[in-house]
Amino acid sequence: MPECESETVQPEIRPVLVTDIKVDDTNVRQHDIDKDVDNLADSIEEHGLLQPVVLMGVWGEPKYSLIVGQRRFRAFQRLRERHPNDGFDRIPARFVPPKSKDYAKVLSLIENLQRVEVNYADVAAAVTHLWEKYKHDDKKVAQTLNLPVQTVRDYLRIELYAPPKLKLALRKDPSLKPDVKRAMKAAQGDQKKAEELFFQVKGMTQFEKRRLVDYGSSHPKASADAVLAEAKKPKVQETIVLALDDHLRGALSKAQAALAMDWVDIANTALHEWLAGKGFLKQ
Amino acid sequence: MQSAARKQSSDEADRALALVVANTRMAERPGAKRPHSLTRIAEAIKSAVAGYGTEREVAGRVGISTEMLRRFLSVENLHSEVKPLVTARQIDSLNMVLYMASMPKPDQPAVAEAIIGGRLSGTEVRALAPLRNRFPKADIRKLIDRVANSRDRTVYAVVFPLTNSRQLRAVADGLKQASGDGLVSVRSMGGQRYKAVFTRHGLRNLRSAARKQKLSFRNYVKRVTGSNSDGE
Repeated sequence: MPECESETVQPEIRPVLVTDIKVDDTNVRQHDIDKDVDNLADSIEEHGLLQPVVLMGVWGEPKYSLIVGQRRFRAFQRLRERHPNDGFDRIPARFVPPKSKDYAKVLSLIENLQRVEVNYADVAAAVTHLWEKYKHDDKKVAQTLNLPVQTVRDYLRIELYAPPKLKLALRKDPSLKPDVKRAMKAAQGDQKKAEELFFQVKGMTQFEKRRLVDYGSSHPKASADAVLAEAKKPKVQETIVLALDDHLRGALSKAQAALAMDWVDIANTALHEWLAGKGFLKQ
Repeated sequence: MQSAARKQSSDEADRALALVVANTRMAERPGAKRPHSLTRIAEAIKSAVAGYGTEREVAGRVGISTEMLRRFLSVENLHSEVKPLVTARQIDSLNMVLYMASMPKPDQPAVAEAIIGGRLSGTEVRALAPLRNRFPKADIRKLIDRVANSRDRTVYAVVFPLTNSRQLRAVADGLKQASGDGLVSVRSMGGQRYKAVFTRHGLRNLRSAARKQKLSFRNYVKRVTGSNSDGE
């Protein structure tokens, strides 16, 4: 949970004039703000508001900053326009003291993460903000937001190092995150190369993607074209089938039972010893 | 009368549950084969759910998660041409069925054909599903080819002697037939030694053919190549 334990949300629910509320820049929801607001307004009209919004400030001293419940607030604004005299001019709210903007931001993010799928860019921006606030302590960010450390690191890596085109693609389609990570890993810090790889990796098979990362990360100086060419080249391993005489197979079976070893291991050991003994294999 | 019908229904649910238990908790019997086909198991799960009320109740009684129970039910989402192949156990892998069921129905017969023909393994069927999402309008057969040809693979080489190189064509045809089209190439290694390279599926077919004829693998290769394989 957030650092400032004393700055918790107060339990009392107050009816607050919608016109006394301003949307604070601490609210993490900056994208898709109007998505489904009309549906939410219909639902509130039918069932009422089930969860109050959270405001920063002191009750009785407007204006208040909205930190949690931006869509509910916008739905109320619409309902007030639709039905000016039906009581939608006041929205139920709880308060948090006006001390810490960071606390408000964390609260807003946690609330959104727990409740709905927040826009990727909103989470990424909030994670980066906290990481800077916590002096680059990613574990503390993870603990605060109750996210796995690896997830926080992924967000940071992409926010700090991904080329703008990749970030843009990710904002449009968050399911591309694994491909963005692959392109970045294969490009080893070269942003132009990461862009070139990303736009190709999207159409690759899983096997090609794996080779792209393996080859790109082990050959940081290779051009994007070279990495792509290697990715598309399947590796073929040839195994020689050893078909043994019956008496040898029988002996191997006996050895397998007596030594409790797999016959492949026995055959390998025997070959190794024989070749080494004859000087064909260095010990 | 009503009580007898209820008892019969309860007995059916119990029998179905027993079948599900016998077929789903395979981790307790490593190496054992599931006694029934995936379609039979899905039918039993449906009967058990009808008798016990919910999937959750059945999963609890069987001792597996609801998620796992639903995986078995994925067979219900298969194309009508594919289901009989699962019933006949030509396709018997739960993962294969699961990934195939996640794909559009019109794609499924081609995928099933590729599985039975040994072109796609479970991992490859899994890799095919996201590719289909990425290219929804592409010909499924082309996507199958892309996946099958893009995977790192192990091939298996069998070395045999051949004194008369003019017989090579006939030998290659024989190996191709015996391996069920699993022959990749036949190459000269210099002198009278040749190397036949097979896919995993091809090698499996060769071994199976040898067993059917009650021959050792070595002797079977010797017979097909019409030569004295030196056993490599």
